[in-house]
Amino acid sequence: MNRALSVAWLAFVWVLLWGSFTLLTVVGGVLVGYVVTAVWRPGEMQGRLPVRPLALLRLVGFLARDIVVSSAAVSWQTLRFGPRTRGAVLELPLLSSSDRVVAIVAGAYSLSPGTLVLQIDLRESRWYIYVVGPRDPADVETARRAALGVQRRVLAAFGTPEEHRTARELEAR
Amino acid sequence: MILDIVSAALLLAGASQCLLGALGLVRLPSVLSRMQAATKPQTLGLFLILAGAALRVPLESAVTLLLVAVFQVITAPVIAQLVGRSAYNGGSVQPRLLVVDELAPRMPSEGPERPPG
Amino acid sequence: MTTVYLIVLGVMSLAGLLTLVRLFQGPDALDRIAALDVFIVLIIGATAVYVAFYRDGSNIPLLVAFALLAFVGSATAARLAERREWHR
Repeated sequence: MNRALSVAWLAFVWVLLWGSFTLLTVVGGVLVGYVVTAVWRPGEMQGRLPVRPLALLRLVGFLARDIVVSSAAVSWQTLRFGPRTRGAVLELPLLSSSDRVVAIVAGAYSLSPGTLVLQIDLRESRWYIYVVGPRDPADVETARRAALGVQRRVLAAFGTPEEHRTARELEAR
Repeated sequence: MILDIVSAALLLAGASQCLLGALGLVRLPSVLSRMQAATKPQTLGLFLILAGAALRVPLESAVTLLLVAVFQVITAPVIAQLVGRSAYNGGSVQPRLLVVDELAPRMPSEGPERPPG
Repeated sequence: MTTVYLIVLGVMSLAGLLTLVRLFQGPDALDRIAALDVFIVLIIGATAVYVAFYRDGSNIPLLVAFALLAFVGSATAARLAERREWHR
């Protein structure tokens, strides 16, 4: 199942590389994907990832809007404060134990408003993220809420129902 | 003709995003904040420029431009995270630029983990 | 229309110059890596502007190659810089 997905993704990239959707490129892509996954085995994945298409679509929409908003926010900091721009390092609870979900949340953080993952402590279930922009404790709390919101949206798409519930409760607090 | 105008607008917007990102790279005070300027506005700027270019070429070329955008989405966060982690562990983060640092209390006891190999 | 393209390229050249300032100034190896990464993104963008101006898609594979090389280069450099910090 996982291998089929890898082959499909590689074939998709192959077709894009050729830039033409013909029988030759599609079959060639599937063949190349098959050979590549045979030579380099994709890592063993434990269990299945619950995927909710609607929440996933909402997540993609959120990230697309977010990259515009976050670019504007970072640009504003640059123009307004420049060298006096400040930031914060926040500790956040890590709500999922699945490596793949952690990787997706980390990617989402790196794309969203001025945030960056510094450390992940899997044993203590903690994220450490850097946020650019906060100037006082109130801003820090706003940033913390926004970061928890990002994690909640990813868990809505990929997490277990319990994880999603915990995320919602944390954010509402 | 309308496509050309939309394309030109996208290119202009993209170029100004790139300029804002570069400005951030020069003006912001620390490696971490500069990394933000480097990744976010640049990525958006590149998207806009690629979209502007995609409107002016045949569909099969436009599809390959989409591939470039996909690569950028996948790789930009990885670079940002690698540099950010190195910056924090390497001690090039000045505490006076941070409002709070909730990682600092944990660092001395644990210390940076050694890279494999 | 040509004026628009000239403005776009001018703005991007200015961005490139600013990036070079950070590249030469440092002060950190990581700053230079970030600056170089931005510079390659700018090169990709400028090539895309060329593609748009001449309506010529034959350079697009170059963009794909650049995007991949930029990633491998920056990732390797960042790993190397990190390791050097530890040995200091």
